[in-house]
Amino acid sequence: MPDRNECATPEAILEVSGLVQSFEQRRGLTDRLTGKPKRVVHAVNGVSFSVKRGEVFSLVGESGCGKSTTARTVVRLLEPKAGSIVFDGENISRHTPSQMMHVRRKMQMIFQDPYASLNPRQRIRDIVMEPMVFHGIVSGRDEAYEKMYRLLDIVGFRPEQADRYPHQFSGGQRQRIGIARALSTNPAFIVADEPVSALDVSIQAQVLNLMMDLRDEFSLSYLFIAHDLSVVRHVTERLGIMYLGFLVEQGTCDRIFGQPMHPYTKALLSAAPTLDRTATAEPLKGDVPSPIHLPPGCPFANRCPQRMEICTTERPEIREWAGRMVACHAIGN
Amino acid sequence: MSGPLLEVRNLRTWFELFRGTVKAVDGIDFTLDTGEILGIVGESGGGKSVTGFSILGLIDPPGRIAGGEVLFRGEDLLKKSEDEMRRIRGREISMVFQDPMTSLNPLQTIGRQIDEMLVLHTPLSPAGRRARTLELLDDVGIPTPEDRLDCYPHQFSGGMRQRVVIAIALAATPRLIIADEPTTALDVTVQAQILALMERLVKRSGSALILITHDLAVVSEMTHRVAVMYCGKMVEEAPTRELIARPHHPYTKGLLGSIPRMAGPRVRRLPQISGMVPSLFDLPKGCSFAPRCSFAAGRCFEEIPEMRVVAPGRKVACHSPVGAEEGETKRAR
Repeated sequence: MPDRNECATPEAILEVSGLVQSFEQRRGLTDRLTGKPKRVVHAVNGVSFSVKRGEVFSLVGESGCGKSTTARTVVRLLEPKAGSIVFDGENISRHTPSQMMHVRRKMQMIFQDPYASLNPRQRIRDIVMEPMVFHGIVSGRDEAYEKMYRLLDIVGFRPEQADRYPHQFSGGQRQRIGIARALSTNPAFIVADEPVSALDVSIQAQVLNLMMDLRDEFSLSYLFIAHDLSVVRHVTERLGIMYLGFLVEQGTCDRIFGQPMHPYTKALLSAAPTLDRTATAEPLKGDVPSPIHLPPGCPFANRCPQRMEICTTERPEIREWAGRMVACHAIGN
Repeated sequence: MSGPLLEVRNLRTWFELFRGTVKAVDGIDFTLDTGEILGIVGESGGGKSVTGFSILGLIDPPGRIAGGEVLFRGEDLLKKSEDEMRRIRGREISMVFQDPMTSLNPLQTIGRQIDEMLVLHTPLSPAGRRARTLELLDDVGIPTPEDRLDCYPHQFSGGMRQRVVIAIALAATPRLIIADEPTTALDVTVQAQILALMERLVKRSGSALILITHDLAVVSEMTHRVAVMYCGKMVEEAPTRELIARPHHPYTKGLLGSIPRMAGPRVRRLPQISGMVPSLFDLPKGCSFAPRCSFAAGRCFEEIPEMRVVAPGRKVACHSPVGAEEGETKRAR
């Protein structure tokens, strides 16, 4: 056993609390001359969650709900506006780029678009070797090659394919190359942002199975970002549902899928098309409000079938109820 | 008029490219009755979109219709001139595309774009057209249509844009609507709205709908009948519920198996289809699916299976269909 103080390894590999992220919209010349105020897109508004060691935690929601922004902020591709990110016992929310270096090695990312995320001018062997050389994980060329061939083998490539370029591979294969690259630094934590949404269903199953096998083999923890609820249900232990930059419900997969409580979670689950059902429930009306002008009350109030007066004036706090965290005025009052 | 609304016979759409001939659609047959919703499913490269474009005569070089017939109300559309087709498109058969941003003109107001359809395809007066435009927008669920007539597409959300596209497609009350991945670009709650809307409008107007999609769950909820395509060929056709309950083609079975379910026990690993779709330049000699098929035997690698009727309303192109006999005995008992 390596001599490691048990207290120093918290149960959670990642703890995010009160995370806030926003972007200023650029104003055109006329707007600036006429003195229009700056417009701010409130992408993530005080999100808290944790990812335990060895688990898959998913953030789910529709486009624009802030799930990808949360993921990108967590790995510090973006500077958080407020809140703390504790990774492996270390608060990284204010780390400088050089301080992030040794953290980056332990947290890697798998991206959505397998066409955009691989350099078209690099051979796949170089794509996979670059991070391990950069982070000094391997001592020399021979070791790098050996490790690269081993990783490519794990994700299902033959050694002679290592010399090819990304365009010679299909979407599913490219996604597997992206996975091999993520694994090359021996990470403990992987953020997967919609890793299978660009893939055909039969290929999607291959990639999901591979990701789950690797979790066992390399004792990985995943933060999984997805919009497809059936995929999330398949891979995840716990999940958080996001809407307009707020976490509206969070809990175990069984609880949330078994008995969703937040009206938005319910709507999302009943809107997802399934093979097992013929009739869809009454679809949700209306659109998501603008993240520039956040509603003063509950973010979901304008579409909510259970809306009460308080919902339009006061923002509900997320709190524990029936074995999960939920932010809704209509629950438990 | 007797006979089906649309009958496609041995349709072949080939693309003559430098590297060789791509048989994107290679000898498919199907029929569609008035009021029916047919789903065409398959993964990328299956030929489902090209089928839709071929029906409308929208194949440009290097593509060409290499043979077959597209009988619409008894007349072969493939023999029509471009002028005649132009009168059919929009008036008799209209199309809804995947991306509402690219199928709308960004420089014209939506009122004008709907009006254009009405000018071309209806005898209405300007006042009548305006009234009809408002009625259409109201039908597709756009609130306060009077205020929206002079808006441009960018002022609408994705879901609202797709509603406008549907309004345009419905403007001349066509007998057949071809919808190519109409909800793929949309979020689930919006997808549910649009699908419910399309179903309602099709039912009300008595037109027929061909829904082209990769999403079997959507097909399951919307359609009466499904045709499954793989590598340019139709491999199975059946009433929707029967196909989902008892797929006969191994590819259909594999596709259904690789979709994670929203209900029932969670499985550790998803069943997956091994390998990947072969290159259309270099299709295997026998059944295109044989290299990935776990049931494939000698004959499958030699001889292309013909589409044949295995039960009333059920057709499958496979030398050894799965569960066909078993299904029959079950029903007999």
